Amino acid sequence: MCLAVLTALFCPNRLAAERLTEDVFRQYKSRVVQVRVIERSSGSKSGIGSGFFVSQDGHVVTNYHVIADIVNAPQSYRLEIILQDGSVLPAKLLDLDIVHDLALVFLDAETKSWFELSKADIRRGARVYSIGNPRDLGFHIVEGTFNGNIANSLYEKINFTGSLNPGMSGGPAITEQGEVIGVNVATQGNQLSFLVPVAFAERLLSRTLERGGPNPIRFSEQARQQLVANQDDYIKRLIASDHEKVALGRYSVPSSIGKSFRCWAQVDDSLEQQPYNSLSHYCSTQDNIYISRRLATGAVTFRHEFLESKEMNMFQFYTLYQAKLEHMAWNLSAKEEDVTSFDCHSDFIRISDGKFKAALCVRAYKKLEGLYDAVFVSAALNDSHSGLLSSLVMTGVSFENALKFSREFVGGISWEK
Amino acid sequence: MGEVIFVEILDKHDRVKERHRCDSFPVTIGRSYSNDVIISDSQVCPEHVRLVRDESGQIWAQDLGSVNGVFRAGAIEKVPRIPIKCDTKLHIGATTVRFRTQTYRVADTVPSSMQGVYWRSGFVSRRNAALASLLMVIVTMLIVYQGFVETLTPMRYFNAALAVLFPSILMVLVWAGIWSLVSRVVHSRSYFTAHFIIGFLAISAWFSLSITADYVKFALASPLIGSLVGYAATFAVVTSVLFGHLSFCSTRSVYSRLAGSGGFAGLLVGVAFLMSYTSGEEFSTELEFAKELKPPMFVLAPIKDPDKFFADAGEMKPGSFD
Repeated sequence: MCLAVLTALFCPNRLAAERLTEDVFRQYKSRVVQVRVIERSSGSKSGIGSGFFVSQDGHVVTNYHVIADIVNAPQSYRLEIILQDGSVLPAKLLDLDIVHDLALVFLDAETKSWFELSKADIRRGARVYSIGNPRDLGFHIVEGTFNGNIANSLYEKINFTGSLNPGMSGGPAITEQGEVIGVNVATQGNQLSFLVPVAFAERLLSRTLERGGPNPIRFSEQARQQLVANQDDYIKRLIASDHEKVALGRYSVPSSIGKSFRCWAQVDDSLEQQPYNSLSHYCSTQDNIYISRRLATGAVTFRHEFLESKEMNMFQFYTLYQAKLEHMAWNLSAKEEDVTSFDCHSDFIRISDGKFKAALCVRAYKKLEGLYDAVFVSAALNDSHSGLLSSLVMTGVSFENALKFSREFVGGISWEK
Repeated sequence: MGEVIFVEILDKHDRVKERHRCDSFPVTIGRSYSNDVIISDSQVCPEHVRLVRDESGQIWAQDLGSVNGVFRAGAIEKVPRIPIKCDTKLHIGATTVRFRTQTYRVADTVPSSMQGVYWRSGFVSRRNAALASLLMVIVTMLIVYQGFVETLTPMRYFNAALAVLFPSILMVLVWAGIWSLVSRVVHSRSYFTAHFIIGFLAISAWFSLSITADYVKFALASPLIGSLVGYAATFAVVTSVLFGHLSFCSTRSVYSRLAGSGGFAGLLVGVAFLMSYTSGEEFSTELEFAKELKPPMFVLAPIKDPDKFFADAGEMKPGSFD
């Protein structure tokens, strides 16, 4: 009794916050639903996520990755929505935004309570509540902090300092006043989570309402068109933006391009016993677009490694150099169901008066016509005791853009005699 | 003075087992020791056939009432009396008998066979064996040295080289042994040293060519030329090795030995090509470009402008899978 009084006296904010969270949950939980993907032949669920009402008519926003099976294998899966009272209703997909990982689902039932989508006015540090059904354990509310948009990304994303868990994907993140600021989408652990800004959900809803019905184009084709348009857009943006450079030995190589890349330098200090030095520079966009359980795409990464040895003879050095090239890892995980084998073109090329061996390898996406994975590799051949290996990996780009961006990348390499 | 006739007893392959010269008639053939020609065959009667000459000089074979009879070669009916000409063949019991006269014209002399014997004996002279051994030692040392020069950890490489060298020599010994056996059967001499040297040179050539092929592939920056050089080298090595071995265990002419070895090598290369061609159809996540890197001085192909490189790369048709 006494303790409770003391707590009330000295921690008024905490009590207020608890009451507020409770109020927020009670007030808005009926607008949040669970989205289930059901395998047709067995009738059992193959995936779960969350979603929320955005209109009186029964429009529900969720993540694309929650309902991706419906797009990739519509004949094998169907959608179900579970309301707060436990009632189960069939639902159908209306539209999707694969790039921002959003989908709009329609429930043929009116709802009394829904979120109006509009741009919320929010400042960094403001309290945000995320609602969803983590791991099918029932509806949860998670408190967190709005931390602005993340920098260094190809796509706009909100940094939400709160714990999102699998199953909460597609649920809303709201303010105390019930304004949606974003859609739960991903987490990197330790309270570092991401939200899709509400503007994209708003755009998805308004274009569906304007059209007045489902998109007449097949969903997989819609997804393909969105991916093609998106890579055109970001490759253009990357080429137009500022290119930073970094010096590696006698070479100057491309580093961060625009603000979308995160770069790291690496000195291999396990090599103290080895008769050579290695200096690496690695940059990546780290923006993967989820396509299916097997396939993610849309990332651009590149790496440079400068190797030098004063102790080795030139044959020894080139043995090492070749082994480094042969053991390069590309981090390309796509399987035979989704991509073809690589086709490669290789030759000697001249870059700023230096000799290089270069190869461009490209493979096509089988189900997403016009999209490719591309790897450009070059190895400098200007010195018998030092070398530079560069590689550029692009996933889910058009063939033209693969050529264009590789050319741009090569243009960023220079050499001083 | 009558004509002399030769009675030849043949084996299953029609090779002469025994040859009897008969210059007075009648001649008796049978299993008992009273005969002029004795055949040790349980299906032949003690007195089986008699050869007689009539007034005109024609020789006849008469069945002496034998149990199993006399047959003309290839026929299925017994005959009591058969005229004998040069090269007539009869089946008596389970035995084939051939008759030839002095006028029988033998086949032409095979010239290479005897020369081959002299050549082969000359090849395995002590001096040549010494030269070959020296060559083997030099080639081995060169290959080991090449590895030494390129490797990063020479001591570990030395052990690895030994680990490769010993099994290779063992393999060559077995290989040479098999060929020696064939030589022994054909020429009654094994020529083991010669076969061993040929086998060893083949392995050395293989090592050297694969190293050279790497450099050629790199220097010309052309996987096509690289693989063509590889196929040509394989063809040349296999042809020479087979030709070398066959020279010590075949009685055929130089031309037919060469044709045989070349044909086999061609077949081998053809199969290898087909296999690599069809394996290209299988799914792979590998980047299949020539990854050889050699010091700058080995760059021989023209160096292209990046724009030209990307224009050429643009000609690719990635994903033309259907």
